[in-house]
Amino acid sequence: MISAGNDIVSLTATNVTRTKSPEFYSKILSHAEKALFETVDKEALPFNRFVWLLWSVKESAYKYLHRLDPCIVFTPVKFEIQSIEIPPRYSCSPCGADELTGIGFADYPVFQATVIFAGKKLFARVIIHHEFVSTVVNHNDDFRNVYWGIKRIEDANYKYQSVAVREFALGTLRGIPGFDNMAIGKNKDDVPFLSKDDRQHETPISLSHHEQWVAFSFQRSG
Amino acid sequence: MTRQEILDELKKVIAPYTTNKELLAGITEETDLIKDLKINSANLVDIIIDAEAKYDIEIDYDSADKMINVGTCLDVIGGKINERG
Repeated sequence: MISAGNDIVSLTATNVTRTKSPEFYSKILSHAEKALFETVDKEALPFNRFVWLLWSVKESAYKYLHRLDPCIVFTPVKFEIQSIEIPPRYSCSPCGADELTGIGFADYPVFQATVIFAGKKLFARVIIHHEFVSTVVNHNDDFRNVYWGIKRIEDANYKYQSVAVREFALGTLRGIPGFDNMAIGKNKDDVPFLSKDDRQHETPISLSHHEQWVAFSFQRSG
Repeated sequence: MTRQEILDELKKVIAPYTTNKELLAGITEETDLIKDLKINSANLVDIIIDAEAKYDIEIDYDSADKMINVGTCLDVIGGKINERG
């Protein structure tokens, strides 16, 4: 069964000094992941962004698996990143746009990562700009049916974030034949779902927001 | 520390990470940190670290897993304070 899992971290809302403190990152990184950092190109991926990349992949993987098994608890160190691949000639830059959308990631320079939780392996694509780290995960390495979007919003108030991310996702869905008149709800486990004419739709959707950024991902079957 | 004293200090720990100040003032043991107080999950680690410093305790992964609502936070923090002696 397919699921959906995404996450966005607003880097401008994070505390760099705290991120670099062992008290903080030891709550997120396993021993193996600390060792993994020693193998990456630190110019392309300095420690601050490394920590938030890992956080974002772990959170996305948790969302993907939590939809399938609501009993799963998010313990960051138990979601272990096994590999990170930095895009060729990567240099972190400002986003340069208020909105990014895509189907798959063939047209975008993305970090690729794999993550394991309780024997389950997931694949991740991560976009990093100066302002944010945004992740989408999938059960296999084929993202061609995965729709995603990232958008800057003006008001970081929680209620506005929640409305804005839904409008953003529904706007994208309206452009897909057969996906008009959709609505987004949340089930008792706080997992978002699509519905049409008051009936839950099979397409899983994931929503995320942090400060002035919102993001979504969903996957069409087939 | 009594449970009420722990709660009073916990409110101060949580305050920087929630914009829902009204609900924070009236929190109960059932108040959920993410669903009710709208705390971003990325800030839960901040809250755990701030709580460790505030109460001079260490909160392990398994205990942190249980800190979902105010009541379970008080259970974990109170237990760690007692362990510390």
